[in-house]
Amino acid sequence: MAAGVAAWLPFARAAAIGWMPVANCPMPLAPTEKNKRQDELIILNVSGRRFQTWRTTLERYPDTLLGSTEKEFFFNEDTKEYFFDRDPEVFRCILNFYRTGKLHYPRYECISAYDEELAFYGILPEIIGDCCYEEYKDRKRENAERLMDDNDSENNQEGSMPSLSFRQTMWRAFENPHTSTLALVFYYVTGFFIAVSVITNVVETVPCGTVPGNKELPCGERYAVAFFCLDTACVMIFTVEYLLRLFAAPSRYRFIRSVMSIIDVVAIMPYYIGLVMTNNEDVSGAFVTLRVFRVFRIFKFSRHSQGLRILGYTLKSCASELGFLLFSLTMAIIIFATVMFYAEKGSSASKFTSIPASFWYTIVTMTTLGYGDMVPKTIAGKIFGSICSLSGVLVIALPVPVIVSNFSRIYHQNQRADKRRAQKKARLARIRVAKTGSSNAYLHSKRNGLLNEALELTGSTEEEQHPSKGTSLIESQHHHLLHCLEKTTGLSYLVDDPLLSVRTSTIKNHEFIDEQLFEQNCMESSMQNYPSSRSPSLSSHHGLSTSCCSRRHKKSTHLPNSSVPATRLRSMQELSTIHIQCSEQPSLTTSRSSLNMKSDDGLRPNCKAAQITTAIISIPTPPALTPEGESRPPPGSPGHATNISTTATSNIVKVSAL
Amino acid sequence: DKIEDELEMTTVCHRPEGLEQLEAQTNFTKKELQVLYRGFKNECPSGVVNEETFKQIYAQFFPHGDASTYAHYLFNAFDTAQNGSVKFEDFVMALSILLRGTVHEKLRWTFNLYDINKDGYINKEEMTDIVKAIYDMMGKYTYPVLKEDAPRQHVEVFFQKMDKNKDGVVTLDEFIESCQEDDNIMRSLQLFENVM
Repeated sequence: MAAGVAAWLPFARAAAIGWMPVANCPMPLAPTEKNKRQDELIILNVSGRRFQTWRTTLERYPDTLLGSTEKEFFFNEDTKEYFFDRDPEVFRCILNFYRTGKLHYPRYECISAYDEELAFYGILPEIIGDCCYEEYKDRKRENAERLMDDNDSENNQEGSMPSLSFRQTMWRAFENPHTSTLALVFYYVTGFFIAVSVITNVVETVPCGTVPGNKELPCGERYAVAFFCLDTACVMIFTVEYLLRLFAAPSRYRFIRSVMSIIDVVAIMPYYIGLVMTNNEDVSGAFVTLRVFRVFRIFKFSRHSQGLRILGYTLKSCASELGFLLFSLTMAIIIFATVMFYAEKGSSASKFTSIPASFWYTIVTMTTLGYGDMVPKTIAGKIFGSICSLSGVLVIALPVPVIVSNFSRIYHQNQRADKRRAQKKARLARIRVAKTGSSNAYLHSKRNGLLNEALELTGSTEEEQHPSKGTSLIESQHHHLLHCLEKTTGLSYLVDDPLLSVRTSTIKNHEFIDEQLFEQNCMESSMQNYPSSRSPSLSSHHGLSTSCCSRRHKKSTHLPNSSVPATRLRSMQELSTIHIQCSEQPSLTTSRSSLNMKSDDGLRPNCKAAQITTAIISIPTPPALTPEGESRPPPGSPGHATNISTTATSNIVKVSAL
Repeated sequence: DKIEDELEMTTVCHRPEGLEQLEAQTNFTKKELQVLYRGFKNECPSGVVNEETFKQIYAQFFPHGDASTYAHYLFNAFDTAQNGSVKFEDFVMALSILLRGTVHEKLRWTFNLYDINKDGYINKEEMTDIVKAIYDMMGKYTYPVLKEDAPRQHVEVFFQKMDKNKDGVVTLDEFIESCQEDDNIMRSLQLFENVM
């Protein structure tokens, strides 16, 4: 719930009067303001600059420094103000957060100074509003990267590294050749062999020397053995390198799927396939084409060159733009080819034999190459040919700068889109956490609230109460409002709460036999006890007669199976649960008997003002009031009113009084 | 241009009448009015609440359900002049009745809330709408799961209780009389006395 809307809570609560005539079940108690004091201005002196605000403004966020009692540490008795020796500029933003509920990040602030101030005042940076959150995250990431770079360079200079496993050192050596001399040597050796392999592939085809018969022989066939040995050596090196990388990879499956490893495999496969297939004459044609794949070895250079990798990545990211360019070019080619074909159809000995044949002319003309092997002869053909070359210039020259700028635009845009998507996920997750947090807080406080109601009913003093942690007045009022809504509709909020399910299962295991009787006892006793009806949920006789609760009497099934509205059921369960947990009694009989006794005791009218021990003492019947050390009632003594020690386990007493 | 004109028209600013007058007309003290106005102005700097803002504010208190329908009926109950905006005076008058008014006034205000078409009678359709709107606020995840005819049954119970002469509508007098007979309701009306 936003802080500013907290001021509208009285309105929302007042509007709840609209539910009252419709409700079938009685409403829970409203939380009372224990320390109702007038709202006062407090002065915050931050390094000499004085800020003033209402106390309630600060108390909107009780888990921060300014909202909790932590600020009392900074209270200056002489000047009656809170003094903080911190930056007043940043404090302005922080105080605005309390006022408006939105935390902003000023762009001129240094990110680490801002983070320090937030940590000091106990505010989580995730609360920063959406208007400033992107900027904050960007700056934070830049800062973190800078720190990481600094750390890395420091580490490299020092040369002291934590001991990694052999596999990890190998992987590191492969990925980053500058880590050790051995890695560097490996890097250069592989580079050399890649170059050798590529050059041999090229030189293989150069004709060197003739053979009798006037046939030019390529070097590859003349020095076949030498080239074969070179090839074998290169492939051996590549194979060894590939296997070593495969061994050192942290995730072998991912490594196999990566582009570089595919290139490696494609580079060495032809050799092995050739080894296997040498004897078979039929597939020698296919074998020859396989040798073409040896040229892929040149792509292995991309491991050695950062620039190649960046180029590959940008091409990949601009694939759609390039695709569109190709598509529009294809359209133009088809149009002009068709036109040229039909224009040149008439002329004799025309080279434009078909439309696909005209494609070649169109492409050569549009890219302004103009080989001249195909030339139009008719006048119409020449006219269209000139139009074709002019438009070719336009079609190709225009998109190129667009693509270039697209490269940088798309590159940055992709990064920003990913950022925004990640932030959106985080933002939605934050909202979800806040929602479930508030509903969990509601259920949690409902449990505690019943305990507190019980405590309030016995009129205990404030010191002995156990206030639920961190529930401000506004929260308790909000929860009371939600509780009223539950009562009005007869439903209750269901949120996955493992704690609650554990408690209900405790009930099932304990299997009260006369549950209805027990609960009726509780209800009746409480009814007679508190005619002034401080606790409508427990003492309402009328509640029994209304429809939702009247069903309770008719059913005689066990607790878990009855179709009683869950809130009422749960309140009973929780009361019994509270009793069980507080008294830590595994044995059922004693607790039940003590409960029954308590209900008898409860019939005594003066439980309201005093604590239970006083009430018990005032009863004339109990012969021996056991001293305080004893926390369990003596078993099998139903006649006695047991005295449960109050000081240490005051919970037991108060709850069982009901 | 048209959009800009519309924008200009909607950013109207309203200032309430003086503090003394409001104090005289309502049952609040000056300090309470100050606190109320500060909260009001914080959410609605322009000084008036329109239905959208009203719904948004009310929905923040019920994160799990859909409070818009009930907020719509509430808005109509607050907007006594039926002109689509609630000024601070309307707001404070209604709050004064709800928090500091007599039982009779509260019940009359509630009757006005239920009577959607403001014809002086509550019929079953109106009541069903109201009850459905209340159930909507609970949301989908409830225990026990909301049954289809639960609102209708709820309305039946209500009419059995309230409709004295069984003519199918509840008039203001029947409503007040029935509520005064029901201790539960009387008690719950006092529940929010100490809200301010």
